[in-house]
Amino acid sequence: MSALTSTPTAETPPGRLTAVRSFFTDSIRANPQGTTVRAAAVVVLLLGIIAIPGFATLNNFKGLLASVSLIGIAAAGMAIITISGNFFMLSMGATTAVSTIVFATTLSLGLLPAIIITVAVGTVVGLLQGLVIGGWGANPIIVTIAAASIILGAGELWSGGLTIFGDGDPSSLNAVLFDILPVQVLVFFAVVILIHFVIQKSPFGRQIRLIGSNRDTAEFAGLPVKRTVIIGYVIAAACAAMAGVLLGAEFDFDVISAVLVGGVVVTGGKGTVLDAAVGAVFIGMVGNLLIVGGQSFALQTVIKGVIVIVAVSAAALLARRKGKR
Amino acid sequence: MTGPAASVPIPGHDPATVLLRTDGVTKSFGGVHALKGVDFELRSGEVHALLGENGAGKSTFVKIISGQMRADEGSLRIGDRTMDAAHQGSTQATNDVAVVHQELSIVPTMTVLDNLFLGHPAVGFLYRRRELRRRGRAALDRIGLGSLNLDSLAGSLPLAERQLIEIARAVTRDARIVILDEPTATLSDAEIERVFGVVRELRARGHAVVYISHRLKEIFALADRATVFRDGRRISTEPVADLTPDLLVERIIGRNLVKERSRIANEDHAQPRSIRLDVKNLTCQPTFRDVSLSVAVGEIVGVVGQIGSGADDLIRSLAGARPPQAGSMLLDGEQYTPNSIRQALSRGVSFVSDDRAKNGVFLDVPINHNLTSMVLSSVVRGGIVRSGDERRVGKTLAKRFTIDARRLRSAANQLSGGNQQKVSLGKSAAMNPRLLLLNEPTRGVDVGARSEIYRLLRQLADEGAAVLLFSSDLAEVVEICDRVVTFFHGRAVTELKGADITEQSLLQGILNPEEVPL
Repeated sequence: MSALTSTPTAETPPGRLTAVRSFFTDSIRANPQGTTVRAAAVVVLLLGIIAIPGFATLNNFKGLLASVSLIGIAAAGMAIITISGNFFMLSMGATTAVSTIVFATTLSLGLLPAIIITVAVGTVVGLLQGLVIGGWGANPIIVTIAAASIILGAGELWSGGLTIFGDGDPSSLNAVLFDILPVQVLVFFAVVILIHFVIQKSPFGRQIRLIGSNRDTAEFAGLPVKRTVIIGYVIAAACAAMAGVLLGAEFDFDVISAVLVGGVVVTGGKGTVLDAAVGAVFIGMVGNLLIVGGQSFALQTVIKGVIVIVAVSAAALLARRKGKR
Repeated sequence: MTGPAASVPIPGHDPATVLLRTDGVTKSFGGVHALKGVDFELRSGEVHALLGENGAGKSTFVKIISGQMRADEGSLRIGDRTMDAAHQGSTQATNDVAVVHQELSIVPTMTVLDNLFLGHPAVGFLYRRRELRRRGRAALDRIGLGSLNLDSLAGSLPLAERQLIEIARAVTRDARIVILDEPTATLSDAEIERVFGVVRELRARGHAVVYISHRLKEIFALADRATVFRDGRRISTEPVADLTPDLLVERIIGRNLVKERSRIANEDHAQPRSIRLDVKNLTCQPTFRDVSLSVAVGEIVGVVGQIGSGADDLIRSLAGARPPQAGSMLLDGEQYTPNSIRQALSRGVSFVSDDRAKNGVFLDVPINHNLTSMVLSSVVRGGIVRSGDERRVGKTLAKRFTIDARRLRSAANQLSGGNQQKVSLGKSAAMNPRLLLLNEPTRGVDVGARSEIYRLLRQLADEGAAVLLFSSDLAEVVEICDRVVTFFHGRAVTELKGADITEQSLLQGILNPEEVPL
């Protein structure tokens, strides 16, 4: 880890500059959809500020960011799975929900131990799914749906179906820095930046992307395909657990929406973790606008579905036009 | 057993009846002539062999006479219907002409009966099972497959029987003309004999059979006449009785083709170098048996053979993709038993596959990420992929493998097939392998890139690699290989060296015409 945070060697300051520049140009060229979503997010933001009274308040922004954080953290993990070519981890919502229970029951041990235990449990859950999918080659959708069922059921068995009231103090998680930044949001930023960096810059991230681009070629090239996919699931499940520490909810579709709308390509290999995070912000913002604008929850889900379909079909059309050229 | 009323009697057992005739059929693709003025005639009750090298025009011709493709010029007459170029390619032709391809169109999860009537015009909205059973039974009986159970799942049958069902399907449609495209390529001798039995039965019933095969002994065992294609032209049509294997080989490759070799193959390989790979009695059922060969440092060795000969499978086994069951392999004198591609790579054995889109290149990934994918550790410092290092390594590799360095950041699918192949080769050779294995090193590659790839392979060999390749392009093998081992039916048959490597000698080795006909 220290290697990741250490400053790059002193000999290459101009290199760093070009790296920053190429980072942006690369992402635009490689991902027109991600760029579009960023622009759309700004448009929606401006629209909300101008047209919807009550949207542009500090309190609403705080709430918006907090709710986006959960989806965003999970989406960062989900993006790894999607980039690796394994579509979606449909057990993330279940993992988050049950992680909340784990967190609440272990909170009496102290905040930090509770977080560590919760994330560790999530890690094990991810490892098991990774072994079945990456190691044995089982279908990722089926395995993670089944895993969701197991995780939810096991959580209920363990908690006895009752609401858990932990006897610890999680209040520091609800703390707000400088009166505007909830801790959730800080965790969200930290997780996204860290995972984005790992996927973009580490050999592991490169291998995830190559495997997602073409698993057969990756195997023929001798890449450690199984190991890499398994680690991907471990990280994704750890993200889900981290979201559960902050607040439990089932939100698989929101996470998938974030990943897809952000421009991570469902067939693998393309898109970044940052794209997924932006997708989460976009989806969250649209939902928030509708609520503040006085629309029903039902309409909100309809609109989210429409956005995903529009984004996915736009990407398909774009890809087809590119192919024809 | 006689056929039911439903089957239309085949007109005229008289061998003089012409069932199909083409006049001046010409077809070109993008300005390149695939067929030039082909006149052809197919008679009732004959087995007519179609021969020619890859790319000679056989398959284009088959597509035109079976109605899958329209000719640019020329006319086609089937029975008493004449179609000029404008009217070909209709489904009309397909009812009279049935093609049995190498790639079977049998659905393994359906029964024999269902497969026989798959897409059959007699099957309307309702599936009249009893009527179809009767007709299916009759069709099987007619071609000597009476023992086959109509209710077996097609997938449970051996490959040969599935092939025979495909032929029976043609019979249920009363197709008068049956085209068999290398029906025996993947079959054993006993199975081949069954296919022959069915073909002879078809002939006796007055069908016309077009038989495409690269196996000369089958032609001599089965065919009445043989037509040879070369460079899109029909070269000859003769009764097989008037031919000899040597004569046929000569027709196929052209007598002037013992051509001056523009060989870059090393002629100074007389002095022995150290043996890099030594294979003894290697067996991998069912594809090859008891194969022994060696490759020295600096040497380019080719293995050649038809589809199903096992030559390409040998390459895969050596690469760790299909571990052999018996025999020994030594790499630089040390035991070499790769159980996976990863293990092979860890021993310095690198493999360039024949299907670059499927498993050779990361198509939507930048070219330099492709090139460094197998040497990633060389651009990683402190746990981070250094983009500066990666650019440098990428540039070096691009220069070495003659890839445009300015395009390193474009996705590989932006490149032409030839350049993609260079990326595939560069990616696998970046690790400086001890042994480089290649399957079809220039499939789908244009002529210019082809010669560059040949030069690269020679360069890699000169730098100390041993190169072993499989290719179905004999001209290519003649051009680049120092030594060639020919395969037939899973066995290494002959070994040719230096100036003895000619298209003629190779063709003789892989067709094995000396073998006694069945």
